[in-house]
Amino acid sequence: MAEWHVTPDYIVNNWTDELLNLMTEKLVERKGKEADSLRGKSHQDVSAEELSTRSRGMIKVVKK
Amino acid sequence: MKERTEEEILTRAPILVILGGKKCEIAPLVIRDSRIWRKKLISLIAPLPVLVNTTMDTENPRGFVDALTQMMVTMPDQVLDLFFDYAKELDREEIEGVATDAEIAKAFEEVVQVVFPLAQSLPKVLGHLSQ
Repeated sequence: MAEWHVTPDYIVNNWTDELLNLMTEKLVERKGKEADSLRGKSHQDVSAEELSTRSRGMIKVVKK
Repeated sequence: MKERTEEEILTRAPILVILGGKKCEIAPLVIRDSRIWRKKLISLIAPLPVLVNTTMDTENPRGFVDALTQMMVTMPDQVLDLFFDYAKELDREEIEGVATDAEIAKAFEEVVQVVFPLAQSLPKVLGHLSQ
């Protein structure tokens, strides 16, 4: 409840079942992402080739 | 049966049903009121023979849907009472005069879908009830 900054009483009297279900799903999803992020899983491993492909256009080579 | 979108859920959009060929809107009940309605539905379903050897568990959609199907077949009047108990804003007398049983069954399914959101696969399974 603290996550949503509302009291249980407010939820029971103002939310629908499907809204509570949706909010819970989203909370679980967010917590999962946070946990992954803390574990460093949000950084995707890519090969050198993949990195080169992805960074194409982002790197400018200037001749001096 | 169409699943409700996140936008519809967040805005607590009315449940849209067709009764007597006309579009009708039913406001979804808040958890407090919905809980009371759910108990009424369960008390109707629980004694049904289909559930004699089954635990009444809404997370078991198959058994739950079988019970709902049986309820619609054997207790159409109670289903009607239950439906209008949820959809209090609808004019029961007027709708009973124009709506078909199939329309009522479909509308009832829509309401059940909103009342039992935790049974994730329920909408998919419920889809065949009114066919």
